[in-house]
Amino acid sequence: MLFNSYEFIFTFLPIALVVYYALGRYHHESAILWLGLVSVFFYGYWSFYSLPVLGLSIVANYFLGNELQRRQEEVKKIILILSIALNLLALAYFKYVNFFIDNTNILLSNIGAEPWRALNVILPIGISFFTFTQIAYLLDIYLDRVKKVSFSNYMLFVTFFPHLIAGPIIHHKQVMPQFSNEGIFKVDLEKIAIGVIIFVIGMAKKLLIADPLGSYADQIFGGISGGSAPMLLESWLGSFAYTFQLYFDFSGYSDMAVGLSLLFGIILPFNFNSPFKARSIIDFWQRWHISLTKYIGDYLYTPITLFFMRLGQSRSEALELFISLVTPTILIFLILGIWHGANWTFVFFGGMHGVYVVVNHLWRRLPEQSFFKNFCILKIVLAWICTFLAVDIAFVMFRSTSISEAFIFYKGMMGFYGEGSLGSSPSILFFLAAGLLVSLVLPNTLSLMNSDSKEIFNYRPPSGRAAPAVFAVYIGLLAFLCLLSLNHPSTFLYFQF
Amino acid sequence: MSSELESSIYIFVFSVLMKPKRILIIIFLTPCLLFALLVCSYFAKPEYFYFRAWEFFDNLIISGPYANTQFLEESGDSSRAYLSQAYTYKNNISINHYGNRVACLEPGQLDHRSILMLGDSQLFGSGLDDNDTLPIRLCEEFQIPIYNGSRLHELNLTSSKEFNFSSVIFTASERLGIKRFCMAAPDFDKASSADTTPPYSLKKSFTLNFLIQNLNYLIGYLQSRFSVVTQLTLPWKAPVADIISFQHTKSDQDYQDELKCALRLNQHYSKKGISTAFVYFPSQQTILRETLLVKSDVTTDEFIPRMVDIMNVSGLSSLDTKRCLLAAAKEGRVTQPHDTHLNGSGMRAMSQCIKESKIAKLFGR
Repeated sequence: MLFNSYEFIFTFLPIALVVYYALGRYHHESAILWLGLVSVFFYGYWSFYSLPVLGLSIVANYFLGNELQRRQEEVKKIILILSIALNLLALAYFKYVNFFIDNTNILLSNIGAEPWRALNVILPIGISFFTFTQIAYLLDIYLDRVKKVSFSNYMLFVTFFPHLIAGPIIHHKQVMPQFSNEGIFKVDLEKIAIGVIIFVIGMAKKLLIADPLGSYADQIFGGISGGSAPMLLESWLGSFAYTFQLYFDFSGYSDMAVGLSLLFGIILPFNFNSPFKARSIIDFWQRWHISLTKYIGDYLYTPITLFFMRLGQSRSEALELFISLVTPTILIFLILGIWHGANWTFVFFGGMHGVYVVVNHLWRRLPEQSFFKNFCILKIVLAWICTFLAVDIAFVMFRSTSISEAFIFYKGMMGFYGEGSLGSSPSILFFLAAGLLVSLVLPNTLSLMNSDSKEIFNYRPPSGRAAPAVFAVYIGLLAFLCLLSLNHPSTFLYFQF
Repeated sequence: MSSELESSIYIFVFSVLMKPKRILIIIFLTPCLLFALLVCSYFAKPEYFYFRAWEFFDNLIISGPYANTQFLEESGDSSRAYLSQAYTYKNNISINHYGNRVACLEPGQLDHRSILMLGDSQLFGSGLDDNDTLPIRLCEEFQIPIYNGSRLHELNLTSSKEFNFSSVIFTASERLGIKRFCMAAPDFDKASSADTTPPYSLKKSFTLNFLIQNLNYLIGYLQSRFSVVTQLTLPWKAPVADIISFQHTKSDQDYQDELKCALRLNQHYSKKGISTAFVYFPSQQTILRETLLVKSDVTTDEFIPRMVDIMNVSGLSSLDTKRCLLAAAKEGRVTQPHDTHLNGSGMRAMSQCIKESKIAKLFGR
């Protein structure tokens, strides 16, 4: 069941909401349990065969978490390592085992050995997300950052349907305290209004921008699989189309997740902050898939960097720089790349961004050129162009089904196969312009939620103002256009991760 | 944009959240009002929401024992994939109380010479005025009663007690073929006529079913039109020669299926004492292939002549409309631009072809 489908909007959601608030009026625990059960139903509707995996993961991690809370330091460490290993093993098995077998077979075929048979493994949808969520929870228990929680609260924390399949990756600290707050069980029209607005904006991003651009991008990238190489113009248009498709698809999903959770009175973190406004790669990663980069930053980047920094101490400056900056950065981004999927293209994608970030760090160490002191605007424009192009080029690798396909595309971008033309679909320019306008000029949903504070959830509306209804009409119009597009629902790109 | 400016511009947005109930009402009411407006527009001017006349009549017909005439604009099936149309044809289109297009025979006129013609959009006369359809042309040519049974009731018409047909002429577009009759009603020769006799006269309108039917149509129409806007792989404006992109190919199996269906139809109606004949409407790509430079394979190119030969050898009546129309095509266009249908002069040429063929004996010549 997709968020952008009739059965979700007109059947599942109203029933879930009505029963939730009805139960919440009399017994909060029942409302939490109900929400957990509908979330499990939502997941099972997607993939019934993945339910046992999800169930086992939740039960095992809850049990291990309780053991971690009970035990003494030495045993705690062992339990922690065991529990993280089990989670990663499960993830590795379902997501990477056939990738491992395929690559091993390449080596085996080179030495003339018998290839291994691929396993018939079905990837449980959302496994990357709920595994990482639970690992963070276990780590925080170990660090005594978590109080004891009930099983129903824990189950809801992991399975809450708006975020279960494609994030945002939520931290227990952000969400679990809300389950104990009585306020979420009372109908809060303000939260519901904001939730509806954000949900509609997210749906519009997906249906009105991402999907049309996706049809064009699929045609260009699919052409390579079919044996035709893209020419200069269509390869650049195709890459831009995919870049915007990916952003609007994923940020649209994230917005819908935030909006839906607000309908239940629960606030989820935002996942994007206008990443295409970024003027550096470091800035880009602070705005793109924020929950994942925050997760990786807190649980991987910081400890790994500290480790390498200690290694690099008392060495030559160049060596220290290589050990303390280059190595952890590349390593982290390779992990980030492979997290997305079992393909070398994702590894290369991660590696590309690792190099970008290293270059960015080194650039920042250089003294600012006096030329740019006098031409600030030029500096800003150039920085923006370089960042956007770097991101766009890396997304070509991300989208391609193989390294060779990516290189064919890159050659197309360099004009190896001719100049090309707009062909019979000049309307692509209109949608690309719309994508650029929305991502660069219009406010993102984060700024709509709170425009003068860094703290997302501290919004306080001003008093005494008139209430223009124009914005509400605009949202209603967007909703109408989205409803017209629901007859052919399309899945979200990040579901495959 | 500075954060202060952002704040001042967008804080007003959230001032509306002072009254969230009002905001929610506006958000939910806006699409409802928009849809209501579209529904009103639809019922006020329904002709703007259709590509084909029979869809219009299927959904919006007013019942009664009189012919219903509408001056309608049609643009054709190939126009559905585009936002704006290259060609439209505005004509008077009249139907009778059975919902079939008028010719020169009405239900209740029992005449032992009467002929039933069955077919699809070409026989219906899509894009043509009432007086330009093939049955009307044949009426003028042969001066005998002919009923245009295309698009509605079809094979069931011979069960109606208001007719007494001596012959049935099956017409089909070259692309879909005669076999479409057998696919649409697979058990036509097995069921008894009592089981299959439908209610012929059109039902009264303005019932709940009528409303639901039209709302469903309108929603489907709006959805398909909107998907045309959001698809980026085709242009918004229909190209002039779009129909050329519609390729069809024929295999040996297609020939066999055609013959099998034609034999079944002939056998079924022969038992009732009704003669049959089979006529193909050639595609624009076929009769104007060299002019339009359309690629084609031999089995497709030669489909009509070969099929006619096969039918004649099997004792079925047919005529090589392709050879006949090719001659007419050389004298000027016989098909609609941007569509595969024959135009008025094409139908005149077609009626001439039938007049000069062996099929003419069915008309008493």
